[in-house]
Amino acid sequence: MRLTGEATQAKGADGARRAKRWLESTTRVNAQWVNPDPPALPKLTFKWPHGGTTFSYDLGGTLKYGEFEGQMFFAECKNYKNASDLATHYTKYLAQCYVAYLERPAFCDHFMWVAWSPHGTTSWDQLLTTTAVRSAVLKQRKHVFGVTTVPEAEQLVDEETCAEVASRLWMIILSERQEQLVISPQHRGLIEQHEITKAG
Amino acid sequence: MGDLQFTAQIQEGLFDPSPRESVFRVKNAVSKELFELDPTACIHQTDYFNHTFAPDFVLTWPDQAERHVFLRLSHNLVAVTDDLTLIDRKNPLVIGLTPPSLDDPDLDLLTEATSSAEAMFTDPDALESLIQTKKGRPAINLLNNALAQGGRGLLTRERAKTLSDIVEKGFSGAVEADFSPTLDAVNALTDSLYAPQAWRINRVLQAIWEGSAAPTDLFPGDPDLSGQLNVEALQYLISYMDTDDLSFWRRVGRNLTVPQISRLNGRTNSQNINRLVQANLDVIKARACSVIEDPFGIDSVSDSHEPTWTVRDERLLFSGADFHVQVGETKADLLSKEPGREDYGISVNYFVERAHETNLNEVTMRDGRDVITAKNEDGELDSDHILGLASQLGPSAEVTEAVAQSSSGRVTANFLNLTGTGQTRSNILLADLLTTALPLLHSFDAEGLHAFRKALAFEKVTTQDVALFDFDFRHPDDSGAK
Repeated sequence: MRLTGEATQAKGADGARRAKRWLESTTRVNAQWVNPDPPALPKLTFKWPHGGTTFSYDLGGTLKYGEFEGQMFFAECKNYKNASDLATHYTKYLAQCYVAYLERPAFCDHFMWVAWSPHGTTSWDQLLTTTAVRSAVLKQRKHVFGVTTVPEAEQLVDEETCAEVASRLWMIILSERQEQLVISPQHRGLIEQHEITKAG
Repeated sequence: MGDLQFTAQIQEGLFDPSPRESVFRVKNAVSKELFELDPTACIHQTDYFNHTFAPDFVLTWPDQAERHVFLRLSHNLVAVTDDLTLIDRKNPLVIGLTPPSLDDPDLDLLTEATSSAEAMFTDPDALESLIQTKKGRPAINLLNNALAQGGRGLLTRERAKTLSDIVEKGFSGAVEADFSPTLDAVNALTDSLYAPQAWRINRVLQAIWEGSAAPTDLFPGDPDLSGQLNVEALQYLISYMDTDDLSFWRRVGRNLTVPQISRLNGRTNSQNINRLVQANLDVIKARACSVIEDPFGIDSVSDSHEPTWTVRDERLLFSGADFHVQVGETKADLLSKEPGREDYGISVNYFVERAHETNLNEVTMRDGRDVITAKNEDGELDSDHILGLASQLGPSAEVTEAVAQSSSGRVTANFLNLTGTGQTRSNILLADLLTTALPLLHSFDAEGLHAFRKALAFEKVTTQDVALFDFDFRHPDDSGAK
């Protein structure tokens, strides 16, 4: 059954909130901005270079501790039961990451794809590669470069940017049970207490 | 303060396109707003923002109370409601950064969830309303502190205004023992606060009611019949009350005792200890005091000539520019004499000089093993009489003890251990004890003596007088305010 636009949006929002909770329950993430909260929109929204339209991520925020301390991320959340048209969405998402990185590199330390179903399992090991990013950008050439043919787009795509984006990609596949298997509230409290003590 | 200052700052900060700048601006504005709401709270800011589990701020108070504050983007009340159930901590304070619309159909859900989570949900508008209302209103100061520590339920701007109005009227009503507004305030406070905070603020309300000479058992609600404002309630006032209005301190301190004062933690707000004692000098009784050279390791005495009251290590102290006196209800309450101190009196000439304004009944002098006690059963001893007797003892004669008459009873000043004591079973006022004993025990210069007497001056007031004090919880701008 095909979901209506409104239902898709609601399901997306649900996915974003569930992803936020799971990410934050790792204690390494603060997903401060959630689409479609109005104050979050200016932080999560980007403009396609061509065509006058925009796109926005579902989540944005910062990572904590260790090698990720203070780094920023954007996340796309897909609360689908099966692969459905996730592959198409994923391709678009990769092209969006390319655009976002070019526009605001300082905010784009990580791009996370958070879904409840895998997709493209036959090419699973290729999903986070420079090739996948390049291919996605070429597919979205009208929005990215304003050109219609692949050869034209190939002249314009920046290999280095594709590689930078690929190095920032995360693939997170969740399941309902996995959402439960997180640090216990008691132990989470210890970490938070540590942070509070640090706050003086 | 302009209208909606914090709400505007928070809204502008929220929509800043830079995520980091946005968080910084919003948290900075909320931190200032929390401080304005309750300046007694210590505000600890964490690195988190709008985190599901971790607080944005932790508020702590001198009495060990603590509350976690969670900021929420509150356009979607269903999401806020869901998140409330995930907060691990009981009794959180949740601030929805965008005030909810009163006709939002999800408001009821949020109210229910707030109750289940034992939380308070409020917004910058509501807090700003409380901040604007508190100026010059001691009751609202207490209310704001109580809400910050233990407010519960949904507190919108409208509810905050209604609540502060009711509390204001209740405190004004209690001054005149007016049952109906007092009852409304008791009920509103009980509904809006968790039990410890509701009890404390209602106990203050009861003390004000009692200050009007109304019977305690007629106080609405569930009156505390222990007979006096207990130490916990007094400590609450000392820690959180923000008023220099002595009539307020007078009203709550009519039954004040030295042991009660000594148990207060004066470090939290020493100014309030001073106000409380000063305002009640006409009723506080004390039968013992002693001059201390170096009290409890305080190396320097007050810089000011104006003596002040403090509590240290469960002792009530009265300290001026060059002296410290500890006060006890009885002599047994005083610290024992400092070890190594010699037992010596003061020269007779010196004593006569110090005693020139004192109504002396009896003076004991010695020279070696010879002791003379001068007494005048019919009235006061004059200096000539004392000097005449001293001359019989010899040039090294010293005064060891003197008994003097104060307004509320006889006081013995002992120069060997630098104590002043009232007669057993006497009802000597603290102020009388000190104004009689200290000028004998301590050498004041003219300026110091003037400041000392001024600090201990009081007018005897009756219960009716207390009720008639210009003591008004209403705002000066309100029509009909005194």
